[in-house]
This record gives sequence, structure tokens and C-alpha cells, in this order.
Amino acid sequence: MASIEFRVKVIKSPDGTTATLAEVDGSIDASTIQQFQQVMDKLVERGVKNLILDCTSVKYINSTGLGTLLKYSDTFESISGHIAFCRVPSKVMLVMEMLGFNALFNIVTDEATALRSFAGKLAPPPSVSVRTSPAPAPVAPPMPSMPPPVAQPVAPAPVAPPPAAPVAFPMQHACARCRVTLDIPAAGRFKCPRCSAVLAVEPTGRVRFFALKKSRPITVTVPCSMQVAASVAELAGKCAANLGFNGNSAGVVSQAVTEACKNVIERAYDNDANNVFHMLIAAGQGALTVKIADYGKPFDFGPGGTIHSDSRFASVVKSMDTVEHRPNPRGGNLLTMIKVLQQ
Amino acid sequence: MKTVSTPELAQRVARELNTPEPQTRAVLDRAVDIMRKELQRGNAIELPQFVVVQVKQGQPVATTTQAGSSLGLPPARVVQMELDEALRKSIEGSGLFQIMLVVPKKSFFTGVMASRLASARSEVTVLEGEQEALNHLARTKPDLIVLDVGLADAPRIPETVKKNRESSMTSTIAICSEGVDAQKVTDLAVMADEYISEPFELTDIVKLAESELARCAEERNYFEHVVHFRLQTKEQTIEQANDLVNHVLQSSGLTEEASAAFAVAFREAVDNAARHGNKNNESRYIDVQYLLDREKGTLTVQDEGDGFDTEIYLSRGVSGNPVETARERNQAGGHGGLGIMLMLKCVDKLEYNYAGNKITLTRYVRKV
Repeated sequence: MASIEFRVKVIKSPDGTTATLAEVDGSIDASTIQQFQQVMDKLVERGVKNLILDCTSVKYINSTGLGTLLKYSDTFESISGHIAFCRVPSKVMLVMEMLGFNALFNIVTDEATALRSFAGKLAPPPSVSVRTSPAPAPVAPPMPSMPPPVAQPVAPAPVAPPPAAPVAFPMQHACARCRVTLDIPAAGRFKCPRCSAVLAVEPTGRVRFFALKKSRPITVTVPCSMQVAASVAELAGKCAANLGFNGNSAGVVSQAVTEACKNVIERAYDNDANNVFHMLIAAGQGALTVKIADYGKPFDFGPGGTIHSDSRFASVVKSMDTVEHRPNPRGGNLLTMIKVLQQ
Repeated sequence: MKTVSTPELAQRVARELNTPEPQTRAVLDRAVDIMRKELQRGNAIELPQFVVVQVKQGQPVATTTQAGSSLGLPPARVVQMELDEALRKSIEGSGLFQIMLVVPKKSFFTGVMASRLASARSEVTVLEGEQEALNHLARTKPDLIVLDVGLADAPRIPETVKKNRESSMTSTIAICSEGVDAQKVTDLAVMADEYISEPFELTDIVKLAESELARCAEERNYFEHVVHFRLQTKEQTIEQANDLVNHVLQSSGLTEEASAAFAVAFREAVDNAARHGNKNNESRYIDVQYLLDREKGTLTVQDEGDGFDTEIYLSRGVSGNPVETARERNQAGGHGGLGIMLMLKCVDKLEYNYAGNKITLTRYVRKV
């Protein structure tokens, strides 16, 4: 029977902030989760408000363990307490990063840093501890993946008007981008867990949302019809024109997208009109990116074996600056085409 | 078969000679460049005890037709490459397939079996006991290993052979005692490629050996590393399986981060197979197959459960939000629900069989 051990002690910082330090030894997975929860529940019952989990000896954490850590992160938040994770091994960090939980957890180097973050001397890392309340925000359908939009601390986009008097935390505020209600525990910088919008909350309760470097991409589900595909390709051309491409270049982009769609319809789906594929058009940072994801047959590129050697993609390869193909993890194809705006 | 590239060569030379790697790489690149230019000029390159590359005049081709014979114009230039004879012999050996017959104790019967296995195309080395076989394996790379009865459950031989990428394409045949089910392993076992039960005719094992030699020769063209192991549904064997996968992934050619992510996905898959598939029933087995080719590594995990509706879980995995999913589960008093999401993030391709009791995880070594 796999086991997990805790060594618990109370530590205190020079300024008087106290916390419970729990050194965890073992794996946090399905086989140990009951034990883990028992100890954590006891700590909460005892009234521990500030908890530091020293993860030096955590051998592994799986998805079950990760979900449970989130539960306790929420629990401590709900009792106006703090939980921090220090000395997180790279294997454990990798699992947290894969599901984006590292953005929600207070991960620090050591217990001293954790104590400082509890005392409010250290701003929590960006994108921590913002809880979404159920809200009727639309959830985007599965689409070709794009890197998350990057925030920059300039040109504030929607700015909430500052309240007249200081507010008491926790407070609630609607996300300026996706309109979901956010439970904000304290002043600091946070990230909306639904849409990744970055926000700064001042002690006065003033909330600022940061503008994005990239505009939000357009996502479309396209039926296997050349007529519809041509219209969507035209949309890609218009996006290119809006970005600053001249009429000729925008037309070239539109033609390349039409050609790529034709390949998907004819080769991945054998002209079966009942199928659909997904397209993502992103304009920003001086380039137009078009991604197409289908779940049909993988492309057979012939003797050359690559998209660049396939004569049926020749016009696409010639027209776009970057053309990449990789197998869709769910079966089918993922095509990425990028056209860079020449200054 | 592993291909050694110039960067790796430079890395090894730099390590052995204790020289800076960039300079070593530059020297190697320059040397290759000079040799290429010399060949283009029609000069020969001679690397002692290795290879001679030279450009020769092509031979005229005689053609005979009803009108008579004539000499066709030869190719203007032909590039010939001759490997050093001693080196060629050391690589090709005797040119015969090498069969290793491992027996508990040499006897008249093992001598007969060895002589039947030996043929015009293969030679047999008889070894006594597991340790002698392991010592021999450290020095040589046989094409086929036959484990005599009594050694069929000697786990270290198939494990040693299959865990190692260089030797994994060596076929192994295990002879089992009558009535012994080779599939009923204890804890975890790296499986042999073929099993034959006593009693059997010597012609049967000779035929099996020949077909295995042919199969492996063919599969070497496609695969670089193949391991099949089987484990009982127990916590400690699952840990062993994770360790084994971590070990084989080290030589996969994947980056450290990609290997770690692949291992994370495997851990989730084998954990799901044990908990949801086999319901933690120790009498049920989990089969794991690892395949590595030049493009990708593939891990297949199969349990003995009834499977599940993979479509629903996969679509949730693709479109769901991990944070929201975890919170919903936590609020409902349960845990989990993130396994498929995590696996999808860790691999390039995730597939289930129709029944839902076999998952195939793929991670590309080279992006296609």
C-alpha cells in the first residue's frame, strides 16, 4: 500500500507572520489521495490559515492529486487563508503546467518567500486565485490551438471606474473580456481562469484589465462545401487586408486558404458533405495565421513525404511564408499557414 | 538502428578529447566540406581502417542485338565506396545469423536441439544458466535467443534484451513446461516474442526460429525499439511499469521535457487501466507495448476491463476546462476527471480502441 507522510511544524517570520509548514513525502495520486485529504482536512479543522506545502519529497503528482490540490487552494481561499507550494520538483511542476494549474497556485521558492507572500509584502504571482462563479459566459468550441493571447501592461483596455471608498476583500468583479464573475480575494495581479485576461486589483478596489498584444482569433466551423470554404477564405483575405496587406497579397492569402480547404475537403474527407472542419484566423503582430484542423484521413504527401513536396499544396506553399502540417492528435490533419506583413 | 548525426558525433569527440564542442563541430563540418570538394574535383578520399571513396571511370556496357554486339557509352563517372575489409568482417561477422540457446544445464538433448537450430544460415552458441547468458549478452548481439524450459521464467534475459534499444530487435523464444501458461506472469514481466510449450517436435522450434529471424529482419526496417511487458494490477508493479517506461524513453531520442510528458501520460493511462479498467483486481493483467520508429514513440496500454464510452470522455477532454472540471468534481465530493485532459496535453495523438479498454499514446520524435 502506497503511503504519504507529512511532517508538520509551525514557522514564524521576523515580522510575526506565522504559518504551518507541512513537508510532504510520497506521491499524491489515486493511491494516496485519501490519506492526503485526511491530513489536509485535519489541518483545516485545526484552524490553520496559512499553510505551506514543502514539495521537496513529492515524488509524483497525477491528475487526481492535482484536482485535490485545487480543492484545498479553494478551501483556504474561502476561509480567507493562504496556501503556498514551495520547492516544487520539476516533474511535479510539469504536471501543473500541462493543465495550467501553475497559474492558479501560489508556487514559491521557499518558506520565507511564502511567508512574505502571506504577509502581503510580495505581490502574488500573476494569475493567481481568481475564482469564477457560474456565469452564462459562452464557452468556445474545440478549435485548433493557438498560443494564449499575451498581455502587455500598456494601453489599458476596458478600465473599471475606481470606487469612491476602499472596498473589503474578497470582492466580486465581472471579467471585462468574458463577463464571468470573478471572486477576488485580495489586491494584486490576477488572471481570469476562463479567458486568461490579466487584471490588476488595487487596495482601493480599482480593477484594471490589460490590453492584449494580439486580437482575439476568429474561429469557424466549416462544412465540407467549396462554396462555404471560399467564403471563409475571403474572410481570411479581408482579415489580411485589415492587417495592412495590400489588395494583391490579401487575394493571394485568400486563394491559398481556398486551396488548403480544397485539399481538406477532397483528400481528408473524400468530398463527403456531411463532415466539417475547423478554421482559426488570427491577425496580429504583423502576421496573419490561419490554422485548419480536420478529423479526416491523414494526408498522403506522396514520395517526398512532406507538405512542401506535394504538388497539390504547391500554390499554398508558394503563397504563404510558413506552411506546416502535423497529425491532429484526434486523428486527421492540422495545417498552419502564416503570412508575414512586409514593412 | 540508430543514426549518428554530425552534432552527436561532435559531442562525443568533444567529450572524449575534452575539447570545446562548438570548435569540434566546426572542425568536423570543415573536414566534411573539404572531403566533399575533393570528391567533386575527382580526387579520392582515404580514411585508414575505415573507408576509401573514389571517383572512377564507368565501364562500357556491351549490348547484343540481332544486328550484332556493340559497346555502349559508359557513365562518365562512378562513385565507389569501399569499406575497410577488416572493418567489414568485424561488422558482418561470419555472415550467419547468431542464435543463443540458453539452457539450465548442457545435456545430450540440448546438443541435439543446437545442431537442429544451426543451419547453413545460422550458428548456435549454447550457454548454461541465466548469468552466463547475461555475460555473453554484454559482449555480443545475437539475432535470436532461445530460452530452454526452466529458463522461460528467467525474467532478466528478455528484460535485459528488450529494455536496451540496441538489442531490443533481437527475437526471443521461450520454451515452457507442459501446462504452463506463459501469459500468467507474476508481478511484471517483459515478454518474449514467442512461446512454445512442451512437448514439441524439434522441427516446430526450427520453423519458429526461422520465422522469427525473418520477422525480426523485416521489422528492423521499421522499428528501432520494441518492448512488450505484462503486469498484474498491483500498486508496486504499476510503479515498476512506470520505471521501465522512464528507462526506455531515455533512449527514445525525445527531448527530456517530451520524455517526461510522455511518461506523465503513460502514468495516467496505466493508472486508469488499473483503477477503472481492471478495478484494482490483482488477477487481471495490463499489457503494455512500446514501439519506437524513426518518427515516433507509441505506448499502448490494454486492460481486461469492459471499456467505456471513449467518445464522451474524449470530447470532454478536448473541449473541457481543467479548472472548472476539477472544481465541479470537488464540489460533487469526488475527485479526478482530469486524466484524459492531461494525457491530451502530454502527447501528440491519443486513441482508444472501439471497446475502450486499449489506449494508444503517440509522441512524435521528429515532427512530420
